[in-house]
Amino acid sequence: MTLYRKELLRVLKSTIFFLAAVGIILFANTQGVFPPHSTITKPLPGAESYGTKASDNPDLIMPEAAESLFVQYSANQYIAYPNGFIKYVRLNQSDREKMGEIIAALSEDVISEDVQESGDIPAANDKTLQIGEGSLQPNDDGSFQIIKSEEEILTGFHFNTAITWEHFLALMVQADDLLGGGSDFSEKWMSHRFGQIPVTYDEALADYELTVSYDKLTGAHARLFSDYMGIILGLLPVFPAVFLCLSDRKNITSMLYTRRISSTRFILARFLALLTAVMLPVLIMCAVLTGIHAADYGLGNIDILVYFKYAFFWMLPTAMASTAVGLFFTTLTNTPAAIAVQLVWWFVDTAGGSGVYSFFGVRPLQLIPRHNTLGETQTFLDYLPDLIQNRIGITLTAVLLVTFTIFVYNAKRRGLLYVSVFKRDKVQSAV
Amino acid sequence: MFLYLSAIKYNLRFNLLPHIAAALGLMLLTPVLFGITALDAMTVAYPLELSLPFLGVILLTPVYTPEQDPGISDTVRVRKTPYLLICGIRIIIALVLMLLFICGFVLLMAALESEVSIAHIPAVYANAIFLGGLGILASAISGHAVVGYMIPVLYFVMDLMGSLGTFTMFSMMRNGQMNGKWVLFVIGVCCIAASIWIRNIATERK
Repeated sequence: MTLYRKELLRVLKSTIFFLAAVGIILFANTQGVFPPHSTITKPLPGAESYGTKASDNPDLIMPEAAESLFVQYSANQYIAYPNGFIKYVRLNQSDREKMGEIIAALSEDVISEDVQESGDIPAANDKTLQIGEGSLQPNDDGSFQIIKSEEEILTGFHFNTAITWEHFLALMVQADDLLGGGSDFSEKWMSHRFGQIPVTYDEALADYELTVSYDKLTGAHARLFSDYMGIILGLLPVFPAVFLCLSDRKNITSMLYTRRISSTRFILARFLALLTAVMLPVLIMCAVLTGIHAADYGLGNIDILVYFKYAFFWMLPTAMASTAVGLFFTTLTNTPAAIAVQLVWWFVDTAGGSGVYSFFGVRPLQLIPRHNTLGETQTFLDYLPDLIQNRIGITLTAVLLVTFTIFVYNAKRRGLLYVSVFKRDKVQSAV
Repeated sequence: MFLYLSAIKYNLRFNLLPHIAAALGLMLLTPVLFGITALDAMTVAYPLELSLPFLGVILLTPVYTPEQDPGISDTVRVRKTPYLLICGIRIIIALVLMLLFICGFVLLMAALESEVSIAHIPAVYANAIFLGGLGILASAISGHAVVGYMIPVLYFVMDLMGSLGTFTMFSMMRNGQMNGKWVLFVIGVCCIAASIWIRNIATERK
């Protein structure tokens, strides 16, 4: 306990903790969750729109998805989001032929082998070439290029309405595999990309009532707060961890190594101290927000503990993982390499794998779960079991990393693990 | 002249190598994350604005790191060679390396049929100098490179999650504009100059 207190004081007195705390609060402020910029209101009948939602309606999804695939096939340029960011995929000849077979299976018309090989658009039945205004674009070498609009391209494709939903899904899985995953044609993303339908008044009202009864209003706010705080807690805690470990290296490593305290106690005390420090500004914000909501909605209408429940259940595992990465890689390498590792993890994670997870839901071992809206309580309840598994998984990952840190630290105390590439601290500028 | 060459040689050998390796790692990782083949004029901005500015953080921020150890700092102060001259040489090397890396990457993208032009080079360079400038200034003020890494990363995240207006780094991604990049370039250069001034004061005070 004394060691924990000493480490905590060291962190709290450091410049980096002050800057990290300011960063966390500033981030919450700029994202409109501290103080909250919106309140939950009952939907009124007759409003122009209640938003849209994804549907699994095959009649809506199938023709749109098939046409989109055909347009991309015609240009041999497919859009995918394998790491969350847009990526243009071009297929080689053999994969193009496979994609051509998928297109042929989706189409009423039989696409000839010539078309499959060249990628040219099947012409309409007329023999003359008509070029619309603005469709002829001059090239630098004086030649001309015919620019076809999406409508003109689609004249060569007629979706086969006799195709079954199961067969369609199987074909789309093949298409998505050919594109390396993360394309518009994965099952989950298709319903969001091509199956959007308007939310009705009754559905909006049902969501509001669930937010009042299940969330007691503050739960919805706490989820949105957790969504944004996860983004910053998935990255910033690594800095104090690296700072603390590298400060040791400068001044007191040899002294620490010879102390009688066990490596386990020392690393655990440090880990818990860092975790307490980074969660401190979050917990203070939680208390302030609870007060604000009590004033807005009335104390009797809200759950006063809900922000703290989300802080421990949703945000803490993210902060644990980020801190553990900082401790492990800095102890192992004696360099700030942990920052790069965490930045890459954060980048790939926030970008979100395939589309929908960037805003809703959770993948296994996703560092930062997303719920980027106020409300949508039923959606939250739907992915709650996955979220629980995810949070346990991330916590276990953090525990594993801390355990590895203890092993590495212990080995270093015994004079092991001195790899020359990490001994740069002994080599200084000769100038 | 021999002194300068010697300073460059030792800087490359003892200080810069791991940072050059990290910069190369970033260059290798970027195509994996974003893809750099056949991108149109709008989507080339994603790798150029999201990834390459970190070259500035990697190469500029640790310029003062060796002397942030008090023992090394004392040794350097009693040397005849002016400390700020050595720092200046390190900064110039970092800036030249950044430019080379950025030019190489843009050329590679052009070779892979992405719609990049010469104008992308100063635009990306401005971003890198801005982010690196924030890092080197924070490092000079705090006396610790980790703080120098945190400030530009924090700025990057804040800008990515909500635009910072005139000071945004992502103008090409958001609206295809490069006009505001000179503002970032000037701020970045000012930050580098301010960091040298702060190091000078810190060295003289001891």
